[in-house]
Amino acid sequence: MGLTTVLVALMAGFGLAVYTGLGLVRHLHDGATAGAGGTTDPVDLHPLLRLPGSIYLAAGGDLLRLRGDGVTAVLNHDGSRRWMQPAVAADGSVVVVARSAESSDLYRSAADGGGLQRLTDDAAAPLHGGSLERNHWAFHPRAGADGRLWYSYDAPKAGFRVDLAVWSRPAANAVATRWSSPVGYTGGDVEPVPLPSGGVVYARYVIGAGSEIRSQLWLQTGPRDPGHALTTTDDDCSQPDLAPGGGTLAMVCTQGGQGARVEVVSFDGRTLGTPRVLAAGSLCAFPTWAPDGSALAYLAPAPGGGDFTLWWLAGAAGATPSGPRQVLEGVALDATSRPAWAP
Amino acid sequence: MLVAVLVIVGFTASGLAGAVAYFLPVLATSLGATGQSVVGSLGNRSPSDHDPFTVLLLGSDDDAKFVPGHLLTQSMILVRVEPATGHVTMLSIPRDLYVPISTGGSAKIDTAYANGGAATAIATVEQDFKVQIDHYVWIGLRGLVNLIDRLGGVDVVTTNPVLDDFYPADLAGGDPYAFERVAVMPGAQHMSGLVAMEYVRSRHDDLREDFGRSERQQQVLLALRTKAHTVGLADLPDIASALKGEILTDMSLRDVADLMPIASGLSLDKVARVLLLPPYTSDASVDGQAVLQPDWDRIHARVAKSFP
Repeated sequence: MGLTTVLVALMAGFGLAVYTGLGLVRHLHDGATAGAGGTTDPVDLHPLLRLPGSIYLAAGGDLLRLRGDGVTAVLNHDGSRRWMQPAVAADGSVVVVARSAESSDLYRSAADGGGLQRLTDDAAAPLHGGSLERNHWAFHPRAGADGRLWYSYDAPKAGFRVDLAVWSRPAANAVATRWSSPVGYTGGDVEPVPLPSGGVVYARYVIGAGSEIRSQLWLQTGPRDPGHALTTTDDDCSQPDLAPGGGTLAMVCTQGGQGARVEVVSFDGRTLGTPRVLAAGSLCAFPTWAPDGSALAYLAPAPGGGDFTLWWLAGAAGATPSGPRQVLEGVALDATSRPAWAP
Repeated sequence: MLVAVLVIVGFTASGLAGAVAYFLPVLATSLGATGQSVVGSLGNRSPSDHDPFTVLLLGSDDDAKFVPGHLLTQSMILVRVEPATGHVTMLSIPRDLYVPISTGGSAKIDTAYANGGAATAIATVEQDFKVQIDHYVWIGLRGLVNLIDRLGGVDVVTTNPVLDDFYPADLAGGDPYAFERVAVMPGAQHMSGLVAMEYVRSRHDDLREDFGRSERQQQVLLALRTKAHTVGLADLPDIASALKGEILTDMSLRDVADLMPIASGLSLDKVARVLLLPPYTSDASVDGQAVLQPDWDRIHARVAKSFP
């Protein structure tokens, strides 16, 4: 009787073990496959490489700062705001987007996230019948060397048309100027990069020859200048960044496909030279020059198709750049937010 | 001897019970969601046969605005897969295409599913496009969101910023006629199910209207293929639970399992994506409603080439 009881208990335990084991297999499998969380607390992140300066990164609605051997969260998301798309100003302050459900605003903070100051007010007054479209989006801030703030902003709007245009406003003046007139119903003009000459380069979305939407790098010398394309619609380039010194642009080009590669190209202020491909075979995003122009950082999935993380290309401006090296692991970075690299 | 046999049988039965309990959700879902019999002429060539086969993908808005059982198809994509070569062709059929419906009369093709379910949608596509359809998959709004989330999201290079001030706020459970604002950023990114849904469903701020949306749907579909290798047998119960009632197909679980390695092995340079832009279609008005008029001669020539 005693042996029978033990055997029955063992059988029941075996059945439970099979059930639990199958669940464990799934759990381990989930852990091994990437893309669904499993990220590390920023304080426990340690870079695989030590890079100079500070790099601001967005992850899960928080703004992180990679400096030396550690990562800290300088701004944490809350119930209504998620931080993204940081940019570093000449005085070391950080301009960043706070995205809410139906609008986004630009904020400025000190390097450590303190002294937060709101720069735009894009949320409409409490909703009452049909006022949803009175909200606005502000994205892709950049701070010029002269203190001018550049960004993309969804005005003017009309009916179903909501396209981003490039705007700027002087440091000591809250009156903004619209620089670009986007092609309607394409999403518009984004990612402005101020030039030392006073002009701006940005990504413009246009309709290509085959009725497809493509992006082109576009140059404008002033707000009334219609500007001209620097790249072709076939190249489908966007996300420009100008190297310190102004002679080289980094960008992402897709050729209209589902691959995105990092290219660099010489820039004489009016035209581009012949581009060189520095990273391909992955989904690359937002190549960003080091403050001294010697290297590029960019975002791409971790090996094996994992979360987007930070990569580094030494010698990117030279004739023989090194191969890409992974900088962080265990963090899922927001690939729609350019890394902002401060000295 | 008898005791030994009883002990072995007992442990086997216990282990089987544990496995059955674990896979119960997928078994229940497989009975409800797969192996759907369809009145019509499904070819039923199986992925395991290694012969080319076709799948009609149907997507519907199935929120509270719509009557269950009478759903329009917002998305209709005919896919042909050649397992031997890895070549894939995706043909997006515009929802506003004005066509003869298999059950009689002419209407926008998105009404075929509403007037007879998958059988009518399949028969209409087969009749009008002169193709053989082997399988179909229908998915609802929450099904797509849940599927992508269960797979850990998808990595997509979005074509352009997708901004919409009049995006339907119909998944939150409130007023199904309410709107919300969405903004999907351009470029390479990791998307949750909800963001992917916004990307493939938004249509107001796209000069190409439904064609733009079709192109985005094809992009996300291709991105999903890279997740196929991450799905194992042990994942099926969770996925089945997440999708219960939100996905319907005639394919068996065996067919789905056979499809996974084919999908994960697909190379982008072997994927042909077809949109029926002008001159294949042209804007027209029928009884006061805006439709797309097909140029059947051109379409049949194109389809015969891609779907032999």
